[in-house]
Amino acid sequence: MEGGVFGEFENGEKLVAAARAFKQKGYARMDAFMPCPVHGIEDALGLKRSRLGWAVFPIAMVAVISVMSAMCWLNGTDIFGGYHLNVGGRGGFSYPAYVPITFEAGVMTSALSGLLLLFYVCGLPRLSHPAFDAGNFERATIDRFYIGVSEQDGKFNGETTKKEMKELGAVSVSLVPGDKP
Amino acid sequence: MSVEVASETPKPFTGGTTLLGGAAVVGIAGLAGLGTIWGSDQFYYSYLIGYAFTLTIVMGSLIFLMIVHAMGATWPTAIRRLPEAVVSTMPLLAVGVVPIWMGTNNYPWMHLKDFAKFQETLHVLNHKAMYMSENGFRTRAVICVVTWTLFAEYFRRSSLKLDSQSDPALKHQLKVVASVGLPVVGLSFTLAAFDWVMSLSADWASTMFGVYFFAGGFLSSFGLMAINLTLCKRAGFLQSVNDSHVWSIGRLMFAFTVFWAYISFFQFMLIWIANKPAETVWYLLRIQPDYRWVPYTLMLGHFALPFFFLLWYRLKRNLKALTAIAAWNLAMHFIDIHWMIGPMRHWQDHIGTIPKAADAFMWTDFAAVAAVAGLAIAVAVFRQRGKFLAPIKDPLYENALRYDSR
Repeated sequence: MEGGVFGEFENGEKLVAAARAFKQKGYARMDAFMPCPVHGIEDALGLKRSRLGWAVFPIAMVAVISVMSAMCWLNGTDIFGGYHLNVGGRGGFSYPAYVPITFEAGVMTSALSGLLLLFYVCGLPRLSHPAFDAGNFERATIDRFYIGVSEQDGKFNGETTKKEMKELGAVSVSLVPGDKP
Repeated sequence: MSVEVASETPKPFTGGTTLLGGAAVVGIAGLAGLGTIWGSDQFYYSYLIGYAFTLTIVMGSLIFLMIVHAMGATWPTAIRRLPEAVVSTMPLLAVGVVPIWMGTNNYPWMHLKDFAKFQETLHVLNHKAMYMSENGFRTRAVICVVTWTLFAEYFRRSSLKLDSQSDPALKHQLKVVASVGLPVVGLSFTLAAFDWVMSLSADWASTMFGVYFFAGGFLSSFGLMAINLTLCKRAGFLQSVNDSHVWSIGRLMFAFTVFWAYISFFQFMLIWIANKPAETVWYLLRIQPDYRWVPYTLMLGHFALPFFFLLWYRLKRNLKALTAIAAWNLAMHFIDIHWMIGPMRHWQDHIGTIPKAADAFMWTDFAAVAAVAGLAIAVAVFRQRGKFLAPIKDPLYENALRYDSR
Protein backbone atom coordinates (compact mmCIF):
# COMPACT_ATOMS: atom_id res chain seq x y z
CA MET A 1 0.00 0.00 0.00
CA GLU A 2 1.13 3.51 -0.73
CA GLY A 3 2.64 5.66 1.95
CA GLY A 4 2.99 9.41 1.80
CA VAL A 5 2.74 12.55 3.88
CA PHE A 6 0.04 12.64 6.51
CA GLY A 7 -1.05 15.90 8.12
CA GLU A 8 -3.16 16.28 11.23
CA PHE A 9 -5.78 19.05 11.38
CA GLU A 10 -7.87 20.31 14.25
CA ASN A 11 -11.24 20.58 12.56
CA GLY A 12 -13.24 19.94 9.40
CA GLU A 13 -13.02 23.48 8.03
CA LYS A 14 -9.21 23.46 8.13
CA LEU A 15 -9.23 20.00 6.54
CA VAL A 16 -11.39 21.14 3.63
CA ALA A 17 -9.35 24.32 3.16
CA ALA A 18 -6.12 22.31 3.12
CA ALA A 19 -7.49 19.74 0.68
CA ARG A 20 -8.64 22.52 -1.60
CA ALA A 21 -5.22 24.19 -1.43
CA PHE A 22 -3.45 20.93 -2.27
CA LYS A 23 -5.73 20.41 -5.23
CA GLN A 24 -4.89 23.90 -6.46
CA LYS A 25 -1.19 23.15 -6.14
CA GLY A 26 -1.76 20.30 -8.58
CA TYR A 27 -1.89 17.26 -6.30
CA ALA A 28 -4.45 14.64 -7.32
CA ARG A 29 -3.73 11.46 -5.34
CA MET A 30 -5.00 12.36 -1.87
CA ASP A 31 -7.30 11.00 0.76
CA ALA A 32 -8.90 12.27 3.94
CA PHE A 33 -9.44 10.45 7.24
CA MET A 34 -12.08 11.81 9.57
CA PRO A 35 -13.97 10.79 12.72
CA CYS A 36 -17.24 12.20 11.29
CA PRO A 37 -18.60 13.22 7.88
CA VAL A 38 -17.32 16.59 6.69
CA HIS A 39 -19.43 18.48 4.18
CA GLY A 40 -17.74 19.37 0.92
CA ILE A 41 -14.67 17.17 1.35
CA GLU A 42 -15.40 15.11 -1.77
CA ASP A 43 -15.50 18.28 -3.79
CA ALA A 44 -12.31 19.62 -2.14
CA LEU A 45 -10.42 16.39 -2.81
CA GLY A 46 -11.73 16.33 -6.37
CA LEU A 47 -13.38 12.95 -5.89
CA LYS A 48 -15.80 11.90 -8.61
CA ARG A 49 -18.99 9.95 -8.12
CA SER A 50 -18.39 6.23 -7.63
CA ARG A 51 -18.54 4.21 -10.82
CA LEU A 52 -19.37 1.01 -8.96
CA GLY A 53 -22.95 1.09 -10.26
CA TRP A 54 -21.79 0.64 -13.85
CA ALA A 55 -20.18 -2.67 -12.84
CA VAL A 56 -22.92 -3.82 -10.47
CA PHE A 57 -25.82 -3.22 -12.87
CA PRO A 58 -24.68 -5.60 -15.66
CA ILE A 59 -23.86 -8.29 -13.08
CA ALA A 60 -27.33 -7.94 -11.56
CA MET A 61 -28.93 -8.08 -15.01
CA VAL A 62 -27.02 -11.27 -15.86
CA ALA A 63 -28.26 -12.80 -12.60
CA VAL A 64 -31.84 -11.71 -13.26
CA ILE A 65 -31.87 -13.13 -16.77
CA SER A 66 -30.16 -16.40 -15.85
CA VAL A 67 -32.37 -17.05 -12.81
CA MET A 68 -35.51 -16.36 -14.84
CA SER A 69 -34.35 -18.61 -17.69
CA ALA A 70 -33.31 -21.34 -15.26
CA MET A 71 -36.80 -21.41 -13.77
CA CYS A 72 -38.44 -21.35 -17.19
CA TRP A 73 -36.25 -24.28 -18.20
CA LEU A 74 -36.51 -26.34 -15.01
CA ASN A 75 -40.21 -25.83 -14.31
CA GLY A 76 -41.50 -25.08 -17.78
CA THR A 77 -39.99 -27.76 -20.00
CA ASP A 78 -39.06 -31.42 -20.01
CA ILE A 79 -35.84 -30.99 -21.99
CA PHE A 80 -32.34 -31.52 -20.53
CA GLY A 81 -33.51 -32.65 -17.13
CA GLY A 82 -36.25 -30.04 -16.74
CA TYR A 83 -39.45 -31.15 -15.04
CA HIS A 84 -42.62 -29.65 -16.45
CA LEU A 85 -44.39 -28.52 -13.31
CA ASN A 86 -48.11 -27.86 -13.44
CA VAL A 87 -49.41 -26.45 -10.16
CA GLY A 88 -53.16 -25.97 -9.92
CA GLY A 89 -53.63 -25.99 -13.69
CA ARG A 90 -51.53 -22.89 -14.23
CA GLY A 91 -49.35 -24.50 -16.88
CA GLY A 92 -45.61 -24.70 -17.18
CA PHE A 93 -44.48 -21.13 -17.72
CA SER A 94 -46.12 -19.59 -14.64
CA TYR A 95 -43.92 -16.56 -14.80
CA PRO A 96 -45.68 -14.51 -12.09
CA ALA A 97 -44.48 -17.13 -9.61
CA TYR A 98 -40.90 -16.64 -10.82
CA VAL A 99 -40.91 -12.88 -10.29
CA PRO A 100 -40.23 -12.81 -6.51
CA ILE A 101 -37.24 -15.15 -6.91
CA THR A 102 -35.92 -13.18 -9.87
CA PHE A 103 -36.30 -9.96 -7.91
CA GLU A 104 -34.53 -11.36 -4.84
CA ALA A 105 -31.74 -12.78 -7.01
CA GLY A 106 -31.26 -9.35 -8.57
CA VAL A 107 -31.11 -7.65 -5.17
CA MET A 108 -28.76 -10.24 -3.67
CA THR A 109 -26.41 -10.27 -6.63
CA SER A 110 -26.15 -6.48 -6.76
CA ALA A 111 -25.51 -6.28 -3.01
CA LEU A 112 -22.90 -9.03 -2.99
CA SER A 113 -21.13 -7.96 -6.17
CA GLY A 114 -21.14 -4.37 -4.93
CA LEU A 115 -19.54 -5.43 -1.65
CA LEU A 116 -16.94 -7.70 -3.27
CA LEU A 117 -16.03 -5.12 -5.93
CA LEU A 118 -15.69 -2.48 -3.24
CA PHE A 119 -13.34 -4.75 -1.30
CA TYR A 120 -11.31 -5.37 -4.45
CA VAL A 121 -11.12 -1.70 -5.41
CA CYS A 122 -10.14 -0.65 -1.87
CA GLY A 123 -7.57 -3.42 -1.52
CA LEU A 124 -9.41 -5.02 1.38
CA PRO A 125 -9.12 -7.07 3.50
CA ARG A 126 -5.80 -6.01 4.97
CA LEU A 127 -4.47 -5.91 8.52
CA SER A 128 -2.36 -2.79 8.32
CA HIS A 129 -1.95 0.41 6.35
CA PRO A 130 1.00 2.81 6.23
CA ALA A 131 -1.32 5.58 7.51
CA PHE A 132 -1.44 3.83 10.87
CA ASP A 133 2.19 4.80 11.42
CA ALA A 134 1.47 8.50 11.08
CA GLY A 135 1.79 10.40 14.34
CA ASN A 136 -1.31 10.42 16.54
CA PHE A 137 -3.24 8.64 13.77
CA GLU A 138 -5.48 6.80 16.25
CA ARG A 139 -7.10 10.18 16.90
CA ALA A 140 -8.59 10.01 13.38
CA THR A 141 -11.37 8.01 14.98
CA ILE A 142 -11.78 10.43 17.89
CA ASP A 143 -11.28 14.15 17.24
CA ARG A 144 -8.64 14.84 14.60
CA PHE A 145 -8.81 15.17 10.83
CA TYR A 146 -6.07 13.89 8.51
CA ILE A 147 -5.06 14.43 4.94
CA GLY A 148 -2.81 11.93 3.27
CA VAL A 149 -0.92 12.82 0.08
CA SER A 150 0.30 9.71 -1.70
CA GLU A 151 3.96 9.20 -2.52
CA GLN A 152 2.82 8.03 -5.94
CA ASP A 153 1.42 11.44 -6.79
CA GLY A 154 3.32 12.97 -9.70
CA LYS A 155 3.98 16.16 -7.76
CA PHE A 156 5.02 14.39 -4.56
CA ASN A 157 8.32 15.31 -2.98
CA GLY A 158 8.75 14.23 0.65
CA GLU A 159 10.28 17.38 2.12
CA THR A 160 8.39 19.92 -0.03
CA THR A 161 5.03 18.28 0.60
CA LYS A 162 5.75 18.16 4.33
CA LYS A 163 6.55 21.87 4.31
CA GLU A 164 3.40 22.68 2.35
CA MET A 165 1.32 20.65 4.80
CA LYS A 166 2.82 22.61 7.73
CA GLU A 167 2.09 25.90 6.00
CA LEU A 168 -1.55 24.92 5.60
CA GLY A 169 -1.97 24.63 9.36
CA ALA A 170 -1.30 20.99 10.12
CA VAL A 171 -0.68 20.35 13.82
CA SER A 172 1.65 17.48 13.09
CA VAL A 173 3.06 16.11 9.85
CA SER A 174 4.62 12.71 9.27
CA LEU A 175 6.24 11.10 6.27
CA VAL A 176 5.49 7.40 6.19
CA PRO A 177 7.01 5.10 3.56
CA GLY A 178 4.71 2.64 1.84
CA ASP A 179 5.00 -1.09 2.43
CA LYS A 180 6.59 -3.29 -0.25
CA PRO A 181 4.09 -4.68 -2.72
CA MET B 1 -17.64 24.28 1.08
CA SER B 2 -21.21 24.88 -0.01
CA VAL B 3 -22.92 25.19 -3.34
CA GLU B 4 -23.25 28.48 -5.10
CA VAL B 5 -26.78 29.74 -4.56
CA ALA B 6 -28.07 31.48 -7.64
CA SER B 7 -28.77 35.04 -6.57
CA GLU B 8 -32.45 35.74 -6.84
CA THR B 9 -34.73 38.33 -5.34
CA PRO B 10 -37.88 36.42 -4.43
CA LYS B 11 -40.90 37.95 -6.08
CA PRO B 12 -44.56 37.07 -5.77
CA PHE B 13 -46.04 34.86 -8.44
CA THR B 14 -47.66 36.82 -11.23
CA GLY B 15 -48.80 35.83 -14.66
CA GLY B 16 -49.94 32.31 -15.41
CA THR B 17 -52.96 33.91 -17.11
CA THR B 18 -52.65 31.63 -20.15
CA LEU B 19 -52.47 28.53 -17.97
CA LEU B 20 -55.33 29.73 -15.79
CA GLY B 21 -57.52 30.58 -18.75
CA GLY B 22 -56.60 27.47 -20.73
CA ALA B 23 -57.22 25.15 -17.79
CA ALA B 24 -60.53 26.82 -17.01
CA VAL B 25 -61.68 26.52 -20.63
CA VAL B 26 -60.64 22.85 -20.77
CA GLY B 27 -62.36 22.24 -17.44
CA ILE B 28 -65.60 23.90 -18.47
CA ALA B 29 -65.56 22.09 -21.83
CA GLY B 30 -65.09 18.81 -19.95
CA LEU B 31 -67.93 19.69 -17.60
CA ALA B 32 -70.15 20.51 -20.57
CA GLY B 33 -69.27 17.14 -22.13
CA LEU B 34 -70.10 15.38 -18.89
CA GLY B 35 -73.31 17.38 -18.64
CA THR B 36 -74.65 15.72 -21.78
CA ILE B 37 -74.74 12.39 -19.97
CA TRP B 38 -75.67 13.74 -16.53
CA GLY B 39 -77.46 11.21 -14.36
CA SER B 40 -76.59 8.13 -16.40
CA ASP B 41 -74.43 5.21 -15.25
CA GLN B 42 -71.80 6.25 -17.71
CA PHE B 43 -71.64 9.68 -16.10
CA TYR B 44 -70.90 8.23 -12.69
CA TYR B 45 -68.06 5.91 -13.75
CA SER B 46 -66.47 8.52 -15.99
CA TYR B 47 -66.70 11.13 -13.26
CA LEU B 48 -65.25 8.74 -10.70
CA ILE B 49 -62.26 8.12 -13.01
CA GLY B 50 -61.62 11.85 -13.42
CA TYR B 51 -62.12 12.53 -9.73
CA ALA B 52 -59.97 9.61 -8.53
CA PHE B 53 -57.18 10.57 -10.96
CA THR B 54 -57.02 14.12 -9.62
CA LEU B 55 -57.67 13.24 -5.98
CA THR B 56 -54.91 10.63 -5.73
CA ILE B 57 -52.34 13.17 -6.98
CA VAL B 58 -53.58 15.91 -4.63
CA MET B 59 -53.62 13.49 -1.69
CA GLY B 60 -50.13 12.31 -2.62
CA SER B 61 -48.95 15.93 -2.42
CA LEU B 62 -50.73 16.44 0.92
CA ILE B 63 -49.16 13.33 2.43
CA PHE B 64 -45.75 14.37 1.08
CA LEU B 65 -46.15 17.79 2.72
CA MET B 66 -47.13 16.20 6.02
CA ILE B 67 -44.15 13.82 5.91
CA VAL B 68 -41.84 16.77 5.19
CA HIS B 69 -43.19 18.70 8.20
CA ALA B 70 -43.19 15.68 10.49
CA MET B 71 -39.57 14.91 9.65
CA GLY B 72 -38.41 18.52 9.74
CA ALA B 73 -36.80 17.86 6.36
CA THR B 74 -34.62 20.65 5.01
CA TRP B 75 -34.25 20.31 1.25
CA PRO B 76 -37.98 20.16 0.37
CA THR B 77 -38.41 23.64 1.88
CA ALA B 78 -37.00 25.05 -1.35
CA ILE B 79 -39.76 23.47 -3.46
CA ARG B 80 -42.44 23.15 -0.78
CA ARG B 81 -44.73 25.73 -2.35
CA LEU B 82 -45.26 23.45 -5.36
CA PRO B 83 -47.10 20.67 -3.48
CA GLU B 84 -48.77 23.41 -1.43
CA ALA B 85 -50.17 24.88 -4.63
CA VAL B 86 -51.43 21.41 -5.56
CA VAL B 87 -53.20 20.87 -2.23
CA SER B 88 -54.80 24.31 -2.52
CA THR B 89 -57.28 22.57 -4.85
CA MET B 90 -58.66 20.49 -1.98
CA PRO B 91 -61.71 22.75 -1.37
CA LEU B 92 -62.67 22.26 -5.04
CA LEU B 93 -62.33 18.50 -4.68
CA ALA B 94 -64.41 18.65 -1.50
CA VAL B 95 -67.21 20.18 -3.54
CA GLY B 96 -66.50 17.60 -6.24
CA VAL B 97 -67.50 14.80 -3.90
CA VAL B 98 -71.17 15.73 -4.43
CA PRO B 99 -71.71 13.43 -7.45
CA ILE B 100 -70.17 10.60 -5.44
CA TRP B 101 -72.44 11.44 -2.52
CA MET B 102 -75.36 11.24 -4.92
CA GLY B 103 -74.09 8.21 -6.80
CA THR B 104 -74.64 5.44 -4.26
CA ASN B 105 -77.09 3.83 -6.67
CA ASN B 106 -74.13 2.69 -8.80
CA TYR B 107 -72.78 0.34 -6.14
CA PRO B 108 -73.76 -3.34 -5.86
CA TRP B 109 -74.37 -3.14 -2.11
CA MET B 110 -77.39 -0.94 -2.92
CA HIS B 111 -78.91 -3.71 -5.04
CA LEU B 112 -79.11 -6.79 -2.85
CA LYS B 113 -82.17 -8.00 -4.80
CA ASP B 114 -80.12 -8.40 -8.00
CA PHE B 115 -77.99 -10.99 -6.23
CA ALA B 116 -80.90 -13.14 -5.02
CA LYS B 117 -79.74 -16.06 -7.18
CA PHE B 118 -76.14 -15.86 -5.99
CA GLN B 119 -76.26 -16.97 -2.39
CA GLU B 120 -72.57 -16.63 -1.67
CA THR B 121 -72.29 -13.11 -3.01
CA LEU B 122 -75.49 -12.21 -1.21
CA HIS B 123 -74.05 -13.62 2.00
CA VAL B 124 -70.97 -11.44 1.66
CA LEU B 125 -73.06 -8.38 0.84
CA ASN B 126 -75.35 -8.99 3.80
CA HIS B 127 -72.36 -9.43 6.04
CA LYS B 128 -71.02 -6.04 4.92
CA ALA B 129 -74.42 -4.31 5.06
CA MET B 130 -73.78 -2.74 8.46
CA TYR B 131 -70.80 -0.87 7.03
CA MET B 132 -71.62 -0.54 3.35
CA SER B 133 -74.90 1.30 3.64
CA GLU B 134 -76.03 4.46 1.92
CA ASN B 135 -75.83 6.52 5.13
CA GLY B 136 -72.49 5.08 6.13
CA PHE B 137 -71.05 5.74 2.68
CA ARG B 138 -72.28 9.33 2.64
CA THR B 139 -71.17 10.08 6.18
CA ARG B 140 -67.71 8.71 5.53
CA ALA B 141 -67.42 10.64 2.25
CA VAL B 142 -68.22 13.92 4.02
CA ILE B 143 -65.89 13.18 6.96
CA CYS B 144 -63.08 12.29 4.55
CA VAL B 145 -63.23 15.40 2.36
CA VAL B 146 -63.73 17.72 5.35
CA THR B 147 -60.72 16.21 7.14
CA TRP B 148 -58.53 16.47 4.06
CA THR B 149 -59.64 20.04 3.32
CA LEU B 150 -58.91 21.14 6.89
CA PHE B 151 -55.43 19.62 6.81
CA ALA B 152 -54.68 20.94 3.31
CA GLU B 153 -55.79 24.47 4.19
CA TYR B 154 -53.95 24.39 7.50
CA PHE B 155 -50.63 23.40 5.94
CA ARG B 156 -50.94 25.82 3.05
CA ARG B 157 -52.01 28.81 5.14
CA SER B 158 -49.43 28.21 7.87
CA SER B 159 -46.73 28.00 5.24
CA LEU B 160 -47.93 31.27 3.66
CA LYS B 161 -47.59 32.91 7.10
CA LEU B 162 -43.91 31.95 6.98
CA ASP B 163 -43.52 34.22 3.92
CA SER B 164 -43.78 37.37 6.02
CA GLN B 165 -42.02 36.38 9.23
CA SER B 166 -39.87 33.60 10.56
CA ASP B 167 -41.75 31.83 13.34
CA PRO B 168 -40.10 28.83 15.04
CA ALA B 169 -43.19 28.25 17.21
CA LEU B 170 -45.32 27.82 14.11
CA LYS B 171 -42.70 25.44 12.68
CA HIS B 172 -43.05 23.32 15.79
CA GLN B 173 -46.84 23.41 15.60
CA LEU B 174 -46.68 22.27 11.96
CA LYS B 175 -44.51 19.35 13.03
CA VAL B 176 -46.96 18.29 15.75
CA VAL B 177 -50.03 18.62 13.53
CA ALA B 178 -48.32 16.70 10.72
CA SER B 179 -47.27 13.86 13.01
CA VAL B 180 -50.74 13.55 14.52
CA GLY B 181 -52.47 14.05 11.18
CA LEU B 182 -50.57 11.52 9.07
CA PRO B 183 -52.35 8.42 10.43
CA VAL B 184 -55.70 10.24 10.27
CA VAL B 185 -55.23 11.22 6.63
CA GLY B 186 -53.72 7.84 5.71
CA LEU B 187 -56.56 5.87 7.25
CA SER B 188 -59.32 8.09 5.89
CA PHE B 189 -57.78 7.87 2.42
CA THR B 190 -57.75 4.08 2.69
CA LEU B 191 -61.41 4.09 3.71
CA ALA B 192 -62.23 6.33 0.76
CA ALA B 193 -60.43 3.94 -1.59
CA PHE B 194 -62.43 1.03 -0.14
CA ASP B 195 -65.73 2.92 -0.34
CA TRP B 196 -65.49 4.67 -3.68
CA VAL B 197 -63.50 2.25 -5.81
CA MET B 198 -63.14 -1.18 -4.20
CA SER B 199 -66.80 -1.55 -3.25
CA LEU B 200 -67.72 -1.32 -6.95
CA SER B 201 -67.02 -5.06 -6.90
CA ALA B 202 -69.72 -6.83 -4.92
CA ASP B 203 -67.70 -9.41 -3.03
CA TRP B 204 -64.09 -8.61 -3.80
CA ALA B 205 -61.76 -7.36 -1.12
CA SER B 206 -58.03 -6.73 -0.95
CA THR B 207 -56.33 -5.42 2.17
CA MET B 208 -53.68 -3.89 -0.09
CA PHE B 209 -56.14 -1.85 -2.11
CA GLY B 210 -55.81 1.37 -0.13
CA VAL B 211 -52.04 1.30 -0.58
CA TYR B 212 -52.40 0.44 -4.27
CA PHE B 213 -54.72 3.42 -4.74
CA PHE B 214 -52.27 5.66 -2.89
CA ALA B 215 -49.04 4.39 -4.48
CA GLY B 216 -49.80 5.57 -8.01
CA GLY B 217 -50.98 8.96 -6.78
CA PHE B 218 -47.94 9.47 -4.58
CA LEU B 219 -45.65 8.69 -7.53
CA SER B 220 -47.60 11.06 -9.78
CA SER B 221 -47.44 13.82 -7.19
CA PHE B 222 -43.62 13.81 -7.58
CA GLY B 223 -44.08 13.84 -11.34
CA LEU B 224 -46.35 16.85 -11.04
CA MET B 225 -43.74 18.48 -8.81
CA ALA B 226 -41.12 18.10 -11.56
CA ILE B 227 -43.50 19.48 -14.18
CA ASN B 228 -44.45 22.44 -11.98
CA LEU B 229 -40.79 23.12 -11.26
CA THR B 230 -40.09 23.25 -15.01
CA LEU B 231 -42.98 25.64 -15.57
CA CYS B 232 -41.85 27.90 -12.70
CA LYS B 233 -38.24 27.92 -13.87
CA ARG B 234 -39.29 28.70 -17.41
CA ALA B 235 -41.35 31.64 -16.14
CA GLY B 236 -38.30 32.96 -14.30
CA PHE B 237 -39.12 31.79 -10.77
CA LEU B 238 -37.32 29.38 -8.41
CA GLN B 239 -33.95 29.97 -10.11
CA SER B 240 -32.17 29.05 -6.87
CA VAL B 241 -33.52 25.50 -6.96
CA ASN B 242 -30.50 23.46 -8.02
CA ASP B 243 -29.66 20.06 -9.50
CA SER B 244 -29.53 18.46 -6.07
CA HIS B 245 -33.19 19.30 -5.48
CA VAL B 246 -34.05 17.91 -8.91
CA TRP B 247 -32.12 14.77 -8.07
CA SER B 248 -34.06 14.38 -4.84
CA ILE B 249 -37.35 14.55 -6.70
CA GLY B 250 -35.94 12.05 -9.21
CA ARG B 251 -34.87 9.68 -6.45
CA LEU B 252 -38.35 9.80 -4.94
CA MET B 253 -39.87 9.12 -8.37
CA PHE B 254 -37.56 6.16 -8.77
CA ALA B 255 -38.33 4.81 -5.29
CA PHE B 256 -42.08 5.06 -5.76
CA THR B 257 -41.98 3.60 -9.26
CA VAL B 258 -40.60 0.51 -7.55
CA PHE B 259 -43.07 0.87 -4.68
CA TRP B 260 -46.04 1.00 -7.05
CA ALA B 261 -44.78 -2.04 -8.95
CA TYR B 262 -44.18 -3.94 -5.72
CA ILE B 263 -47.66 -3.17 -4.35
CA SER B 264 -49.60 -3.82 -7.52
CA PHE B 265 -47.67 -6.89 -8.56
CA PHE B 266 -47.87 -8.60 -5.18
CA GLN B 267 -51.56 -7.83 -4.86
CA PHE B 268 -51.95 -9.65 -8.16
CA MET B 269 -49.48 -12.44 -7.36
CA LEU B 270 -51.08 -13.39 -4.04
CA ILE B 271 -54.54 -13.49 -5.58
CA TRP B 272 -53.28 -15.41 -8.61
CA ILE B 273 -51.42 -17.99 -6.55
CA ALA B 274 -54.27 -18.56 -4.05
CA ASN B 275 -56.70 -18.85 -6.98
CA LYS B 276 -59.92 -18.36 -5.04
CA PRO B 277 -62.92 -17.53 -7.27
CA ALA B 278 -64.13 -14.59 -5.16
CA GLU B 279 -60.71 -12.96 -5.42
CA THR B 280 -59.64 -13.77 -8.96
CA VAL B 281 -62.83 -12.32 -10.43
CA TRP B 282 -61.40 -8.80 -10.09
CA TYR B 283 -58.48 -9.62 -12.36
CA LEU B 284 -60.50 -11.91 -14.61
CA LEU B 285 -62.82 -9.03 -15.44
CA ARG B 286 -59.81 -6.82 -16.13
CA ILE B 287 -58.18 -9.09 -18.68
CA GLN B 288 -61.25 -9.40 -20.90
CA PRO B 289 -60.47 -8.69 -24.58
CA ASP B 290 -61.09 -4.94 -24.39
CA TYR B 291 -58.75 -4.58 -21.43
CA ARG B 292 -56.18 -7.26 -22.09
CA TRP B 293 -53.52 -4.80 -23.27
CA VAL B 294 -53.79 -2.71 -20.10
CA PRO B 295 -51.91 -4.90 -17.58
CA TYR B 296 -49.07 -5.38 -20.07
CA THR B 297 -48.98 -1.65 -20.77
CA LEU B 298 -48.82 -0.97 -17.03
CA MET B 299 -46.05 -3.53 -16.49
CA LEU B 300 -43.94 -1.99 -19.24
CA GLY B 301 -45.00 1.64 -19.09
CA HIS B 302 -45.72 2.19 -15.41
CA PHE B 303 -42.78 0.12 -14.20
CA ALA B 304 -40.13 -1.21 -16.60
CA LEU B 305 -39.59 1.86 -18.79
CA PRO B 306 -39.44 4.50 -16.01
CA PHE B 307 -37.43 2.08 -13.86
CA PHE B 308 -34.61 1.70 -16.37
CA PHE B 309 -34.62 5.39 -17.23
CA LEU B 310 -34.65 6.51 -13.61
CA LEU B 311 -31.87 4.11 -12.72
CA TRP B 312 -29.56 6.52 -14.53
CA TYR B 313 -28.02 9.17 -12.27
CA ARG B 314 -27.71 11.84 -14.95
CA LEU B 315 -31.33 11.54 -16.07
CA LYS B 316 -32.53 12.01 -12.49
CA ARG B 317 -30.43 15.18 -12.21
CA ASN B 318 -31.69 16.58 -15.48
CA LEU B 319 -34.94 18.48 -15.05
CA LYS B 320 -35.90 18.23 -18.72
CA ALA B 321 -35.54 14.45 -18.81
CA LEU B 322 -37.31 14.11 -15.48
CA THR B 323 -40.21 16.23 -16.71
CA ALA B 324 -40.62 14.01 -19.76
CA ILE B 325 -40.72 10.90 -17.58
CA ALA B 326 -43.15 12.66 -15.24
CA ALA B 327 -45.56 13.45 -18.06
CA TRP B 328 -45.39 9.82 -19.18
CA ASN B 329 -46.07 8.75 -15.58
CA LEU B 330 -49.20 10.89 -15.40
CA ALA B 331 -50.56 9.18 -18.52
CA MET B 332 -49.79 5.79 -17.00
CA HIS B 333 -51.49 6.82 -13.76
CA PHE B 334 -54.63 7.63 -15.75
CA ILE B 335 -54.57 4.15 -17.34
CA ASP B 336 -54.01 2.59 -13.92
CA ILE B 337 -56.95 4.45 -12.34
CA HIS B 338 -59.09 3.72 -15.37
CA TRP B 339 -58.27 0.03 -15.05
CA MET B 340 -59.53 0.04 -11.46
CA ILE B 341 -62.85 1.73 -12.26
CA GLY B 342 -63.65 1.48 -15.98
CA PRO B 343 -64.27 -2.29 -16.20
CA MET B 344 -66.98 -2.00 -13.53
CA ARG B 345 -69.30 -0.13 -15.90
CA HIS B 346 -72.56 -2.03 -16.47
CA TRP B 347 -71.84 -4.53 -13.73
CA GLN B 348 -75.63 -4.95 -13.43
CA ASP B 349 -75.78 -6.50 -16.90
CA HIS B 350 -73.47 -9.35 -16.10
CA ILE B 351 -74.00 -10.41 -12.51
CA GLY B 352 -72.79 -13.98 -12.17
CA THR B 353 -70.90 -14.01 -15.46
CA ILE B 354 -67.80 -12.43 -16.85
CA PRO B 355 -68.67 -10.12 -19.74
CA LYS B 356 -67.23 -10.94 -23.15
CA ALA B 357 -66.61 -7.31 -23.94
CA ALA B 358 -66.61 -4.15 -21.91
CA ASP B 359 -66.52 -0.54 -23.03
CA ALA B 360 -62.88 0.29 -22.60
CA PHE B 361 -61.99 3.95 -22.98
CA MET B 362 -64.96 6.19 -23.63
CA TRP B 363 -64.69 9.86 -24.58
CA THR B 364 -66.49 10.83 -21.39
CA ASP B 365 -63.62 9.41 -19.30
CA PHE B 366 -61.31 11.93 -20.92
CA ALA B 367 -63.93 14.65 -20.54
CA ALA B 368 -64.11 13.87 -16.82
CA VAL B 369 -60.35 14.09 -16.39
CA ALA B 370 -60.37 17.36 -18.35
CA ALA B 371 -63.18 18.68 -16.16
CA VAL B 372 -61.77 17.82 -12.72
CA ALA B 373 -58.06 18.25 -13.45
CA GLY B 374 -58.64 21.36 -15.61
CA LEU B 375 -60.68 23.13 -12.95
CA ALA B 376 -58.18 22.02 -10.29
CA ILE B 377 -55.29 23.56 -12.25
CA ALA B 378 -57.27 26.77 -12.70
CA VAL B 379 -58.02 26.95 -8.95
CA ALA B 380 -54.39 26.21 -8.04
CA VAL B 381 -53.03 28.92 -10.34
CA PHE B 382 -55.66 31.39 -9.19
CA ARG B 383 -54.94 30.81 -5.50
CA GLN B 384 -51.18 31.02 -6.06
CA ARG B 385 -51.32 34.49 -7.65
CA GLY B 386 -49.70 37.20 -5.59
CA LYS B 387 -48.04 34.67 -3.29
CA PHE B 388 -44.36 33.80 -3.18
CA LEU B 389 -43.31 30.53 -4.81
CA ALA B 390 -41.15 29.57 -1.82
CA PRO B 391 -41.57 29.97 1.95
CA ILE B 392 -38.84 32.63 2.02
CA LYS B 393 -38.90 33.30 5.78
CA ASP B 394 -39.06 29.67 6.81
CA PRO B 395 -36.25 28.98 9.32
CA LEU B 396 -35.01 26.17 7.08
CA TYR B 397 -35.22 28.02 3.77
CA GLU B 398 -31.66 29.37 3.62
CA ASN B 399 -30.22 25.95 4.37
CA ALA B 400 -32.56 24.31 1.87
CA LEU B 401 -31.14 26.47 -0.93
CA ARG B 402 -27.61 25.39 -0.04
CA TYR B 403 -28.61 21.73 -0.34
CA ASP B 404 -25.84 19.83 -2.06
CA SER B 405 -26.04 16.13 -2.72
CA ARG B 406 -24.08 14.15 -5.25
